[in-house]
Amino acid sequence: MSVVLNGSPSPKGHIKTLMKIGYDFCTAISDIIDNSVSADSSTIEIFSPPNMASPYLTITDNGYGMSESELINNMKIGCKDPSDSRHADDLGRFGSGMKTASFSQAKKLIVLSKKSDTCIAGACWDIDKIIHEDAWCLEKLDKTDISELEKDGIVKIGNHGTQIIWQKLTCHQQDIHSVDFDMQIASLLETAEKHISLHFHRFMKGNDNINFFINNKPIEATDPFMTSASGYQEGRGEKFRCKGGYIKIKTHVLPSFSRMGKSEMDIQGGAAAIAQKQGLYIYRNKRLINAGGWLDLSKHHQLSALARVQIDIPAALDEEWSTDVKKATLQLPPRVKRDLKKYLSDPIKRSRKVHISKGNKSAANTFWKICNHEDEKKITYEVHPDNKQLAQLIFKLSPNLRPTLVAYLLSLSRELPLQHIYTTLADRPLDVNQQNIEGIDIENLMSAFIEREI
Amino acid sequence: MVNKSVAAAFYICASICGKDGVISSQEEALLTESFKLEFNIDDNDINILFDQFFESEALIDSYLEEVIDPDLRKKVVAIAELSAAADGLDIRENLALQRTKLTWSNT
Repeated sequence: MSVVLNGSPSPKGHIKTLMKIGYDFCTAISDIIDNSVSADSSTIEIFSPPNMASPYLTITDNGYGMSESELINNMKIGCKDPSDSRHADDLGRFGSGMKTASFSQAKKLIVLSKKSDTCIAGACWDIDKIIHEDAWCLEKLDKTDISELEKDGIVKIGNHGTQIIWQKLTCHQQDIHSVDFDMQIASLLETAEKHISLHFHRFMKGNDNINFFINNKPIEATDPFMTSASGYQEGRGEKFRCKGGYIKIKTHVLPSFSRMGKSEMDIQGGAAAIAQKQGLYIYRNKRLINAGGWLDLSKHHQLSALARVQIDIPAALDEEWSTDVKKATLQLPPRVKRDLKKYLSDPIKRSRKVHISKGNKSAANTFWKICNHEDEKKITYEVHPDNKQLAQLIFKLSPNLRPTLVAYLLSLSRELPLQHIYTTLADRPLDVNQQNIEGIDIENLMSAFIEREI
Repeated sequence: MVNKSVAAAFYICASICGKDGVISSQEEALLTESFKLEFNIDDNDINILFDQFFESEALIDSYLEEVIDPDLRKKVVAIAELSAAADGLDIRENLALQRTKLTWSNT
């Protein structure tokens, strides 16, 4: 007869594992924000004061807040069963996000919360203490503890809401000067701003929008589809009935690079980033989980750089879509994968069309000939032999110099810096302007010849 | 309130159309229209039936047992065939349809 033993993990070992669950700074902050969104907040503020010997970071919302008992329950790791049904707008899943996200970035997590009709309640996890005592020692803060935090200017909760405080930060290197702490935290906050502006962009617009701030600076939404830009094309859409509502699919094609303004392009991270982020944009309850990439449904290609497919899924489908604890990855169910393929071809085709119609203009050039050698399966770019100016030049040239010119033109074609042109057009298309060549270098060369002859 | 056998009939059609957990908008439209027309139920009833279908973990076999009336069975097969084919009848949907016909022909 087998004997059942207590196989519970030791708190000391378990907490060290939880610290390494794989969050980065942005996904950790996003997981905290998910809770603020679910708590019906209209303002979410991320704040980290500069010039601190022991830097800390707080995330404060004005959501409905928690009572002391709700707070203590929510401080427990895995306080919710992921299989339990949740409210349609709830962005949470495992009931572990707030804790594991915080432990990945800081060794001390303090949560303060207040409902409109209660006092501030507070609780704290201190990893050093858990390790030292090898026990899950959750501290409930009393009035004196909270007053201390208020005196230090840390408490930011208004009439109601929740504040997450990360102390003993591990998201920066600790063996350097405190001035560098500020630089490191500033750099992390800058990355977080970009991440939040994209991943929560749909919460930042509309009547019941949420105002996001980082160190008192408002965060502007980044629309990955550039729907309000000139030249944007909206494609076909479809919706599927499923558990918890609908899966909605909508296709988008961004404006061509030449029609994008420089600031519009910069917001998207530049031309290379736009090309890199082609693909599927999957939203779970309006929150972006997957920003680009084709998840094996299509190939990444420069010509499909402008194609985007927006997919909205309800949180009720977490199990089917295998959303992970960080809500940062997911897998497409087979049927959805099959149906999705039908919708990919449209934006990809239109993205190619935008590129190719521009390409055709270049093909009509009388100076360069694009030779498609189908038998040898190769394409070459050559000086156009039928160009009238070239014909006149050769005609006027003395016969003994003609071979020299032909040899030069052949070298000109061979040495065309194709790789450089390709990467520059992909990376900085707006900077390339062949219409603006002033001819100064060539004119100088000609003048030098004339002077030498005189 | 929709009676039990009509609800089971609806779940059978939904099971055939949504073999992998999703029902396309064309399938949904045909399923909705057919049930409203044949069984005199409204959009609200249909929505409740859809929600109950997706919430339930029951297999198609348990719904098949609940539909006894031969006329209702004929209607179910006709609606399922029409709805599932709305966006092209795929192999899984066709298998579920054949299984329905086979199960009922043996009872």
